[in-house]
Amino acid sequence: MNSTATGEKLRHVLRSIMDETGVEGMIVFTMDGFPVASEIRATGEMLEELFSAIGAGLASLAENTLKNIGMLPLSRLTIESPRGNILLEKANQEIGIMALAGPSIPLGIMRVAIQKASTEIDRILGREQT
Amino acid sequence: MRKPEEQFMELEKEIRRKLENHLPAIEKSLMEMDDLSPPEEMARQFLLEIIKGNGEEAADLLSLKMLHERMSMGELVSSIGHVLKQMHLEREVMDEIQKLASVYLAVLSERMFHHFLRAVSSITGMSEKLLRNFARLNLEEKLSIDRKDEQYAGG
Repeated sequence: MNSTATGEKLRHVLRSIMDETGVEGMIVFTMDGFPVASEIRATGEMLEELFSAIGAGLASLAENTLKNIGMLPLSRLTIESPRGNILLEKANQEIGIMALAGPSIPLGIMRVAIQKASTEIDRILGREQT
Repeated sequence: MRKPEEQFMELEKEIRRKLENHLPAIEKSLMEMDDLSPPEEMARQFLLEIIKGNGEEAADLLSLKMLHERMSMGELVSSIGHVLKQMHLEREVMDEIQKLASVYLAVLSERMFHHFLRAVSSITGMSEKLLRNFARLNLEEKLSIDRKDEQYAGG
């Protein structure tokens, strides 16, 4: 499968998870900060590259903090604001997923959205372990 | 095409050839200098090692010293300027020494850049590739702002 088809497939998956859960943005990125796929409804502008770099930075900082106090691995990172929440998880060693949602979406739903995306990413990128 | 290191070595050889007759006097003058401030003393030692032909090792060592002392590149360049001024050299000799120092200041900058990159990477856990990605995004954002400014200025 070529990279455009894979990217489109990933975006389709993200769109359907967002429709199902009410999450307003999902970004899949490499830990070097490069975008893999994204759907962001919360902002008019496409900020895929910036969110990918910030997501990778946040995940690295969080992991390094946990490493320094012997609390690895990182399960997830939550950023809460009165205007919404951001949840970040690593799908595997190389890939991170970030979900953005308004305050009315419970964090539990955001976790489900990320877990679904993680499973689909593994399947689409051929990393599913049997 | 020649490698940058070869061009660099050739440039150094050429400067040394021009300075050949002056090198012993420059070295003596640098060795006899006193009453220097700590940054000027670092600059003097750097210049002395460059003149002796140990520029690369000196750049390595100085990059670590500068980090330890929290000394900026600007401070070093200004201190080199002060030291050279106190040597009362002929204009042409001064120009050639400045050229030679510039070559090793470039080596020093490169070493400093790597120390910073490694330090930030080690403390934050961000890969060097991610840090370079941040720099690229920041540059692109700046270029985009500059372009918008130009559009406004032109329109």
